[in-house]
Amino acid sequence: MKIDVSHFLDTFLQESAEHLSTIESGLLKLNTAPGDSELLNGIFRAAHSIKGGAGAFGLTHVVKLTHALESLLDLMRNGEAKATPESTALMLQAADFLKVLTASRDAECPAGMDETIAALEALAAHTTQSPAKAVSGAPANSSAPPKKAPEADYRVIFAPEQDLFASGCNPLLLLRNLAQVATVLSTKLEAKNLPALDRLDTSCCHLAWEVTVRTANPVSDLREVFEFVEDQARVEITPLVELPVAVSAGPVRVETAAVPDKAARGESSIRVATEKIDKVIDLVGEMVIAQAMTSELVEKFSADNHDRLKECVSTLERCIRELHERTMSVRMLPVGTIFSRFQRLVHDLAQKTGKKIALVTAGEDTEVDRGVLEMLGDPLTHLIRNSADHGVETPAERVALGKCETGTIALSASNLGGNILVEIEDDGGGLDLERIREKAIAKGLISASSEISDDQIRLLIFEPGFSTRNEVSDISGRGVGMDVVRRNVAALNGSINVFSQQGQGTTVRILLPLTLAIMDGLIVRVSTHRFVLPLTSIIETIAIREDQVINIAGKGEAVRVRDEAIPFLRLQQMFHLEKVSREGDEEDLPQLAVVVERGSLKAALLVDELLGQQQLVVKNLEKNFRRIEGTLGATILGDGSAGLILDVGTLIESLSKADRTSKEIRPISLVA
Amino acid sequence: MVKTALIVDDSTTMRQMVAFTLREAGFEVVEAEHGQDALDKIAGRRINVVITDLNMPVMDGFTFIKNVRAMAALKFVPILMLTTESQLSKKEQGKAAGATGWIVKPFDPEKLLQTIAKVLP
Repeated sequence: MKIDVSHFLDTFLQESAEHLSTIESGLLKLNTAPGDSELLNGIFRAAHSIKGGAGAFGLTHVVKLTHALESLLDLMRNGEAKATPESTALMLQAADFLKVLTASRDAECPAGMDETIAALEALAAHTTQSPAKAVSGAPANSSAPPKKAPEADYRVIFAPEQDLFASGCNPLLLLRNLAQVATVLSTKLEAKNLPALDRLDTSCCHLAWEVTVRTANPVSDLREVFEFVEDQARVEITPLVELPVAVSAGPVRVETAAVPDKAARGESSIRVATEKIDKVIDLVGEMVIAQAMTSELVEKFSADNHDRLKECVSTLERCIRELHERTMSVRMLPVGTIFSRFQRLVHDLAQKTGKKIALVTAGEDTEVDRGVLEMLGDPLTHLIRNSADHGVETPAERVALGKCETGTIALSASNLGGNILVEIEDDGGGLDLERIREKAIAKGLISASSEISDDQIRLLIFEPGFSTRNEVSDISGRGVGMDVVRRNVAALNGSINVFSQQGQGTTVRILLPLTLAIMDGLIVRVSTHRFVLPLTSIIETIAIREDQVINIAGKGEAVRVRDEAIPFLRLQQMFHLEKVSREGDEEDLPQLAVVVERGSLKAALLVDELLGQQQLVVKNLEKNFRRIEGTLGATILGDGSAGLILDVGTLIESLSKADRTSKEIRPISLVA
Repeated sequence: MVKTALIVDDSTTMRQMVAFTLREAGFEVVEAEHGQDALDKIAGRRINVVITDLNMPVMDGFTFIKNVRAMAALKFVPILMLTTESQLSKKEQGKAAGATGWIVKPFDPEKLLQTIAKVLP
């Protein structure tokens, strides 16, 4: 029997008109959004529907034309071809021909159609660099052209409603179909809604699935699997892609994507082991008891229970100290969380500069305060950029120097006493001290006649606006980096040091306190004021006599300690404080000096009295008052008065400056 | 084992097009002109897949699907309805009645077989 398809042909022609208007409006939108995949998919589907129907009705011209159109659109939606105004114009022309062909049952083949088909094929062939696909009348297989799109991972959540089985749907089949369009990486069954056996209704679906898949097919293929159950299930298909934030391109995509995610989450919340919290709560409990005992003893105070009171206070002290440590440990994060992002940075820099650079990291597990870690990111980025741009030589240069073609930048972290040491080491050309010196003279940072040590020359690179590069590269070299690095490190109460061997490489060492908020300090009296020196920067306190002080022309004073001349600073003069004469003041009486160090540089600070050691809570002065040069902030001392915390780094640097008068610290007045 | 498909459509052409395709693919095919006709023909038979039109005389597709679902032996049988793209509301109505999925008209034989493969255990 001859199959009469006339009834469906009319439906088909009518539908084709709808599809063609979709194609037409889509193509016009394509001009403004050439890569819009949703748009391209829409156009493709419409063309595909026309082709499918035309095949069933034997309309070979329509099939040919839509096939050519579809091939090009497929390349475009796979990102292999780009929509250009020319290709869009050509596709619009094809759509016009289709309109003519589907206008009526017995439409004639319009002239010029074959040329359009050829042009479409040529365009598709040109993009793929391969001969045009043979145009066949049969629509079969055309729906699955070979795809070369990169593979992507998706998380597919399929949570059907209970009545899924009632429509004859079989979750197992859906999962099987999913496995046909994508490689299943993992499947997780969610059975928490499964009722107890006695209440189990086997005609209801109680299960849900979470499937991780990898596929080069478009996400629409995954969606199509669940086409029939969209209204009966929660279907979520999420691409597991790398975030735009640069992270290391590790072998496992999912893992690297988790890193920035974790870091981003960390902004507002921290994951803390319950053990840590429990210990803190224990301590608080102990403190409450100690406090209650203390209160009672104070209430009924008599000379007899003085000793018990002292005991209680020392218990409180111990608790508070331990609580401090425990609380700080809650804020600790492994350094690795920021190290990971530098792999990508180095990779990109190496590509940009045409160098071969490997980044080696060590000590990622070293824990450091969250605040310190956040502020460490920028300085490290600058330093690594510097190493990659200025430090490591080009492969050709390296080979000529007898070095390995691939340069190495080593980034490491380790604990050093109460500090954390971060080192950035490269095996590049090292610092050219002579050039730095010349540049510094040219920039007027030092005078041509001044004699400064190599250490001091190295420190010059931290001066604002200093750069030895004549041309500015877009990676580094604007000379803004290093002084920012130093400022950030100083803000963290840390120190930075550069070691370099010309031709061998450069090592930058950053020493940072483990935590910012609380520090141990030595309280000293200068004139009528009390100052605090961070305990970590103090080497020793010494008694000196005035005759030990030597005057070095143009460089201020120094004090000789065990055959070493240490720059000498009278804090009383520096802060323009009134000189308070001591009882029975004699010229020859020994005076007290605190020897402090920052990096490899030392200074002896003259003070009037050492008052004691205390754990201090650092209060930011800039927020509450204004920045005072030479200080880190203020703290509240035991008697309730305020004391300035001295910034040893700034003080030492002000001493090592060739021209000391320009950096003299302005007088301050402090109201407690 | 040979699988049996039931095709329900009042249009002889459509019914025969589908039946031809399915027989070619190795199915045993039962043809029915409308819902009631189908219910009469399948009584006591093993059916693996049902393909039904929606607009039919005597008993329309929706009523037919509900009736099939009420039969213990066919409670979970896959049922595909024949519909056109423009009939979105029909899809929902059919799903509510118990249809498993749909085939959008017009379709080529390959698409038909693909869709059946999608729902056939």
